[in-house]
Amino acid sequence: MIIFMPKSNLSQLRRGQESKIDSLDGEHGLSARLMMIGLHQGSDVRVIERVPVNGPIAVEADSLRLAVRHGDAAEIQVSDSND
Amino acid sequence: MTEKAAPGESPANILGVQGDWIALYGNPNTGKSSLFNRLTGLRQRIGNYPGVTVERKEGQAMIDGVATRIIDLPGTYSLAARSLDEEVASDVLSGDWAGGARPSVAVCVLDASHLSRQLLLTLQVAEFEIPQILVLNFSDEARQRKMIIDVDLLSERLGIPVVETVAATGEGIEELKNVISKAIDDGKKIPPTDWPEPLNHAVAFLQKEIQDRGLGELSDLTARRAIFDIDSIYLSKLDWRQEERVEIVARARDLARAAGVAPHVMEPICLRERVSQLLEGCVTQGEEQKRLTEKLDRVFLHPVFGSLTFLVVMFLLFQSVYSWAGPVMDAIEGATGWLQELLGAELVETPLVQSLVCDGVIAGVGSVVIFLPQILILYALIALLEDSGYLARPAYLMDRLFSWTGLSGKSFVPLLSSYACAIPGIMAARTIEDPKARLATNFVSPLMSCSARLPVYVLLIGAFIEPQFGAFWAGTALFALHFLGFIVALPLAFILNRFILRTAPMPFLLEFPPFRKPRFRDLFWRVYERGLKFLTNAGSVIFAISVIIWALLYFPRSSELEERLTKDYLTQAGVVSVSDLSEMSGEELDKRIQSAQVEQSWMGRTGKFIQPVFALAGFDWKISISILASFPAREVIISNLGIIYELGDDTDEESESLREQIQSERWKEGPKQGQPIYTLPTVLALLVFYALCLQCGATVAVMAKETSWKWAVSAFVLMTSLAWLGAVFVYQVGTAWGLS
Repeated sequence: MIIFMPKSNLSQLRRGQESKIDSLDGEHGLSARLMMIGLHQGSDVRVIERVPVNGPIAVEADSLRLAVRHGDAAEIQVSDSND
Repeated sequence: MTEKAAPGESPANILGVQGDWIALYGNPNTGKSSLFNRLTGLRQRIGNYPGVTVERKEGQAMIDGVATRIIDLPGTYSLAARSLDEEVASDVLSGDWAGGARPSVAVCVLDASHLSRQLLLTLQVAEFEIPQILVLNFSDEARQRKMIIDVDLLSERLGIPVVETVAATGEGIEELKNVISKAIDDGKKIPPTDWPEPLNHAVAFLQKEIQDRGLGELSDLTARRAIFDIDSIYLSKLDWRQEERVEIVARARDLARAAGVAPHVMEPICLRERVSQLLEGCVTQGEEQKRLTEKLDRVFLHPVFGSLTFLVVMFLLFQSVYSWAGPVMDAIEGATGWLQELLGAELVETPLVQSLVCDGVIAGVGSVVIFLPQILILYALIALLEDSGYLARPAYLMDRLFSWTGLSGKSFVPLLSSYACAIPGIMAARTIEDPKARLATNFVSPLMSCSARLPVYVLLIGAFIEPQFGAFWAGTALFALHFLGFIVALPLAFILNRFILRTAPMPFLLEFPPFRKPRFRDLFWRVYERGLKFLTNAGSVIFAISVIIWALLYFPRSSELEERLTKDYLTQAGVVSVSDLSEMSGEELDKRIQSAQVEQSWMGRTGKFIQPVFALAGFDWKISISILASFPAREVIISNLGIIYELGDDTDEESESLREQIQSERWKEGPKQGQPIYTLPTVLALLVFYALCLQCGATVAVMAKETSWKWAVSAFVLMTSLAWLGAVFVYQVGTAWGLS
């Protein structure tokens, strides 16, 4: 059976949802910053909380807990999770 | 105070001593400051880096019997120089500052539990080829989670000493000092990273292009940074044209791309690979143990419960500030009054000196010192919230409220501090990466209702709103006034960011540190540093301005006026000489003379001259000069009103007689003759004026220091205009509605 797996990004994840970072190399300043903080391709991410109305998203990735703005999160591709 | 180093000034001069010095660096939240406090103790102070407004914390540690300088660099995740903090850290470690001094040893502080991701920065610094020491701090937490680090193996692989510490308890500090002493002699370094061949080609290409075009020499290091970070400030240090730069760097990046990795993420990818090789078989990961942080965050990060918690925390914070500071402030006020009386009696022979010392110097400086308790308590409480890790949570929750204006959650702490005093608020804005967002935050900080506005609010609300409308509306008015500035600040920041600064949206990344117990030792240092800074920075400015205002209110003196008033008073009282007057009548006469002198002083004349401007807001000449005289420091309005309303100048906001006096003030001439001056619209207009106006010389001075005089003056002009417009609007609308 072929399962259609649409690409999604971090901003589309619901509260509590887990996923994996698929790509983190978009041509913008954010990628290198996130990677120096400790995120990388293949990191497990989980959305801890979200502020409504496109507010920032609190995520946990590996042992790191941090907030990312909605627009920035949209730049981070995640593999569709199997929750 | 800021130390500005002239170009070419030797680093030894800036550091104050010759010889070896140590730099502490690392990620935020690694306990670096704690470690610094442990190493230096009393021997520390805060300065500025030459030319930029990043705080330079430095101190001395006794290393092997020698006092050795230690500089505590700002916590950063990277040396890519995207923020001021990163730029400073990178410049100091690479020796690209003040004459090229490089630290004898760079001490890298890491959170042992997060060794693998924090080593990226260590390897970045290894590129500078300076001797290093690795400090695994919070090693107790790592032990608790059963994480085992083979320190000897790690040390062998990195080629530098590795020390485990617990800065909070002092564990490992002595060992660290010994290791530093040895490292100064040995100078062991981490070998720089082997970069992929295509990157090296690109670097060579870039260097050659630069040289061929006669733009100077580019070191390997700078060339690599240029390829990694297209917006790097390293490039702006070279003297070339924008298009030229974009073109050459783009070609060099294309060469680097041949490695199969995008140039802008090549650095973290390569460093990460090296870190995993280094840690292979070196670290046994323990179990995840952050139940407390997770549990607390369920509340603190929740959009509803987190915001409610934040409101309660803020309420308690301000309550504590006001209620705990009260007794100390009374004591300071008492001491000021006592000193004035004491010196007043000593100097009675020379009225000019007496007035200068008592009404100018002591009253002026006293009016600053009186806010010290509030500021210290607020600092202690904010430091407590910050050290515990809490403040990152409301910053995240508030970001949405700020982001449409171009401010970010990072503006939150500076604006919060500004509710006590805009000066520490403006200083706190230094953590904001984007210079424009920092500027915008600084610009709106003085609009937050600081504690110096409170006395005016209390006086006017107590005199007019409470008797007429009751305690509920008085409380509401007080709350509304505290909110007004914030409401005005948001659209102002929006306009500033959108149309004037044209701020580019910056990525907002905020780490939520784990909750930790704050240590008294570290809190003490922060409060102490801030208190000292407030006293020296603000004190000197206020002192100078107090003397100027005093002179403008004191001169010119007319002895003729004094004689005439005395004669009239004596005739009225039916006595021959002043010595026949009762003590009370004598004081009454003094007050009348003082009041008349103020009226014909330079300031008084100016007040009468500019009154027509304020007439639109319903203010008479006395209110007008009170406003003028409180531009240097708004808190002096109470004593100004006191002088002007014939009460002598030892009046405070609780003074019933000042309250009664302003209640009974009436227009002496003009169309409104005989009517009360302080009608409800006038009072509201005055309150709005004080809430919005930038009447604080110290804030303007600090702002000029942190930004530029241009911005400080703009903020001053803008806020004053806003205050005037607001006051006129409130008065005119209020009058039209028939409020009285």
